[in-house]
Amino acid sequence: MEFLHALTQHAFLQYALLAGVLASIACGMIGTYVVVRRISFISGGIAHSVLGGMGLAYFLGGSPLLGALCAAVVAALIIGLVSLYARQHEDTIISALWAVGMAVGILFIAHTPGYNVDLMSFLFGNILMVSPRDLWHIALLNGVVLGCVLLFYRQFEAVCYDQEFARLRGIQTNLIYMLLLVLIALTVVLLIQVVGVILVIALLTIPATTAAAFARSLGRMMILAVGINLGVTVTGLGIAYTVDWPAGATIILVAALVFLSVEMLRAPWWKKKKPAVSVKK
Amino acid sequence: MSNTKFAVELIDVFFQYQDETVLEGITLQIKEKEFLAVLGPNGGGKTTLLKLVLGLIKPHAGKVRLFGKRPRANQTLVGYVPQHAHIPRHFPIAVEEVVLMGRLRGHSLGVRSSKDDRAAAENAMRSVEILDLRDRRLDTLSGGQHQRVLIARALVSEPKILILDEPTASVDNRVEQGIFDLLRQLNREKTIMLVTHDLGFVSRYVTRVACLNKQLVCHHAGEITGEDIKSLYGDSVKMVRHECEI
Repeated sequence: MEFLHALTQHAFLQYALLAGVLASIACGMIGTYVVVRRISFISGGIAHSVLGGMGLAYFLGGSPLLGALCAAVVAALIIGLVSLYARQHEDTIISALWAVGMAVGILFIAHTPGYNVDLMSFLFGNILMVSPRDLWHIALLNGVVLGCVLLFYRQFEAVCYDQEFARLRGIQTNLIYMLLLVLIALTVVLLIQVVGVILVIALLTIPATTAAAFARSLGRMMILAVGINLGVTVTGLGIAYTVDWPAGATIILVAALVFLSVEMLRAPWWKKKKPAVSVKK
Repeated sequence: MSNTKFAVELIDVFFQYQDETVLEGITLQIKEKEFLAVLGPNGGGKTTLLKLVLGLIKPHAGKVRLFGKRPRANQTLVGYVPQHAHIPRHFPIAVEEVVLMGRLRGHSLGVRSSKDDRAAAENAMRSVEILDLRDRRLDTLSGGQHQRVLIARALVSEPKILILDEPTASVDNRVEQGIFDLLRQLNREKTIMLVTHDLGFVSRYVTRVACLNKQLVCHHAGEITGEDIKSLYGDSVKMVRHECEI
């Protein structure tokens, strides 16, 4: 309640809320793909290597957002090419990119002249510091992600479900896969403002995983995931403001709590398991 | 023979993964409306052979033709049914949407499928008797039902040839029988090429059996189907063993 009252008083809270709402949309949709295609490790790699781009941009006096965007897209393309053409080295290369990106970012930030940058807000987000300009950026990225998902919905679905079959139908599966990774990169960038580099992956995957059990289609899973994301972000923000906790971390914990509660309610361990489908051999 | 139309034609095809030769001098012609079963041990190159015919991989030597053209040029004439064990089951998708994927083209944009596509999907689901399952999520289906969904997805594009990879793997005997009855029915209009372990059932329906273990030997079904099922099965097993020793 205190939060609702404060919301009418403070513009920064309104911006924060709006940023959270906008981020939830892209996050729920792209998170759905990350979960069903099981590429959360790839997404984590993209998210962490973003710090390198942000650090470099900061060092050069440019916009960290632009730096993040470039780094995310470059990382997505590298990881995409590796996972398409050098599958056997995929996890090593992603791990390396993950760590090197962070190392580069921290080095640049450490050497940025002038006042000390708040490294913590890169790492864990600072939704309360969102400016109207940031909001426009978030809205723009959101629009791009939403547009691409609506346009290529069936192609993404086919590639996530059965890539080989999609290829036989004449779909450019490699191109679609790369596009998906680029959309993940864009989503990561717009989520960084909300929860930071380190927590991005949790917000991408936890609400979508919660939604997965209830949906009969990717579209419904997306809608549900967006809804859960919205609820989690707003609740987390409210709690964080009321008890003065870091917002990003609070949002993630709320998401995890929702996931755990839903799983416990859905599959109670005291209920008998349904017998498995009869299988020969 | 020269004016017979071949659905599939392989001429002296070689394929290797790194240093290991998987297929060696394969020559095979499948006539239209033929029902060919490819038998052979695991690692004998069965799936590789299918992938060559589908144009998913290219041979290192030799020629592969699908209705007279390079496989990639005629890919849309094929209905492909992969091994259902390789398809994710816990994917949030309903039966109808999986079937609709068979109508997808490279230029399909947007969220919704067209009316024509949905009508075709309905027909395909009806023909394999899964219309009542159309709204069910995949992970609520039995193995046999799942297999039928994948067959419907292959049929929905009205292909001229149906290519199946182990359609009866990990389903029980009754379901297996059902699937082969369905294939026999489909064979009236379509060429069928399938890879399988189960000769017992296949031999009743197929026109020809190809035994594959790096190299390929064909048997006319007549040589096999003349006898009683049990002895056929014994005969065939011997044949497969024989190929293994090559």
